[in-house]
Amino acid sequence: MKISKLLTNHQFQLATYKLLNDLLLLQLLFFAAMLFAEGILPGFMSAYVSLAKLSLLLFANLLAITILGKKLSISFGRGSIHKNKLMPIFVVFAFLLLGNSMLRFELWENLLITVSTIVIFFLFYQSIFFSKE
Amino acid sequence: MQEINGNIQLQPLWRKRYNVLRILLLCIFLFIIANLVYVVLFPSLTFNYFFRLENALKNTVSSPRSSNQNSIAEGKTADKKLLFDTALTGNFSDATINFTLEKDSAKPESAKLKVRRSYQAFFYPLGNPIGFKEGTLLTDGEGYFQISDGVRRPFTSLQAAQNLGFTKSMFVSVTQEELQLNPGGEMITNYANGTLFKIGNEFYQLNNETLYQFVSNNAFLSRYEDNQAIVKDANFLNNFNLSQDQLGFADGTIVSLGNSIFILSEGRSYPVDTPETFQALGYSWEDVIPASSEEVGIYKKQKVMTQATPHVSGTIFLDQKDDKYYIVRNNQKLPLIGNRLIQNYLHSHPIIADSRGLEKVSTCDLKKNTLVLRSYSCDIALENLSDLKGNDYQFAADFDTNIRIEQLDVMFHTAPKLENARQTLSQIKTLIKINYQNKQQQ
Repeated sequence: MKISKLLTNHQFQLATYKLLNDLLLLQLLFFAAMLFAEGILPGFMSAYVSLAKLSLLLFANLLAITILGKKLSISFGRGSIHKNKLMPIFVVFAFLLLGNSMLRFELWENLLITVSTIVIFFLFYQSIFFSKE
Repeated sequence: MQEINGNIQLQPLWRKRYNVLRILLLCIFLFIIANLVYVVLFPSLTFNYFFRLENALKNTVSSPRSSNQNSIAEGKTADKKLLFDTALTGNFSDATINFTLEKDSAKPESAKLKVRRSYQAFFYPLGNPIGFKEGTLLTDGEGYFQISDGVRRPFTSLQAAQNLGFTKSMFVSVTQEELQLNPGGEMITNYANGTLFKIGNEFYQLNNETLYQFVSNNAFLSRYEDNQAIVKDANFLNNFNLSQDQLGFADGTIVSLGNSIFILSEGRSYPVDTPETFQALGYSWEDVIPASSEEVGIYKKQKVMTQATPHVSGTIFLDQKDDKYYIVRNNQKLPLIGNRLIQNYLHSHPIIADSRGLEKVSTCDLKKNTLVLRSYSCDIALENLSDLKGNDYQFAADFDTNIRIEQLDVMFHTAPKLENARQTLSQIKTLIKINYQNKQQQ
């Protein structure tokens, strides 16, 4: 099969789209692990892996997914934040990262800032993505 | 891996292809992770020096020089020898050293490379034994002396000393041998240079008819005992000029200010770049004195202290091989002889060094690389140096002719052994501990 013919093949494009999504999941997991490691020991992992390059790769993949998704007329549904089963995990992860970065504060200050930050981000998310509702 | 976008259906043939590619993607991802784990557990470090760019920041090999300590201009060796240092933490199994010569350089037929391990400052040449510090009061049981301008000046009698305000308990009993560490000087008839006073709650030291105030009591106590100063009232200040300059801490004192750690020496403060550097240089966290901005402010701030920075003047080393103490002064290592003298200088933990590191060497013969032009390299084993103290590997290359070097590369490797992996994990654990201890102290 010629490359040009392969590139225009709908099934190939769909498979590529799915593969890019799989890659995105792996990238996000790796990025989260890196963030966690950097939180515990700042500068240790970034000496081996550049977080900036990792972010660029992540955005490049997102861009590729968006372009290919549009070409394939795949619509992106707005999943409800309340129904997302992974949301508690994200919240706990964000809580740990934020709390860890503010260990020099008193415990009550740390808790107050961390909880406020998460609530503010949640409200931002709600107002940006669900303002019409 | 759970399939995402499960609602996008593929034809059976493409579904099969997609599944194969998905497994391949996962394998590549796992390979990258495994490689990362390997690199973290068995680290390798590379140091370079580009002789055409002598002031470039990317030059990480420290001070390439000739055997008489002169710098190597344009990469040309003057005495067929080249000395250089690399500063790093961790125990490495071996190192590959590579010299790339300039086109017009002579081609060496043979060359030998040696490496030693210790602290950079512990490699300094040995100087003459140091005497007691300025202002110290000594007695051998018969005579009473004060160290002034580096010499040992006698009082005419104990009574004469007492008339000036000194008490018998201020004088430290020393042996005749210890007394001879400072050369003898003229008789003391009045307050001599170096005399210490306590006026109110402040400490002062006399020098050339001028009183110099210590910036804080902590600064005074880093140098002297509390009872070394003559207690006077405020009117005493009228007898002398009062200097605007203040006296600081003993050379080599470690202080903390906010999030930063500074090493103080000879009127200069050296901020330590990371906790790893602090540990790599053998300092102890217990010796850190919390200081105010006023105390640190009297020092001139220097460039950050990295692992490649030698210990500052005033640092005290303890050679664990034969329990001898040395103090760093003017790029020399001066022996501290006798318990009284050690007590006179030692106000914090010494840096533990090992003089075996000065003698024990590992060697290799440089060979021409067949694949790369004008390149000579050799692998040097470092495992026999692993039990030595210090973060500095000092290399000495001995060529059979003078050469002109373009680039020098040193690559340290860790062998993939379980013991090395355990050691790296232990280092990571220690670093995490330090990180969290520091956060909680702030």
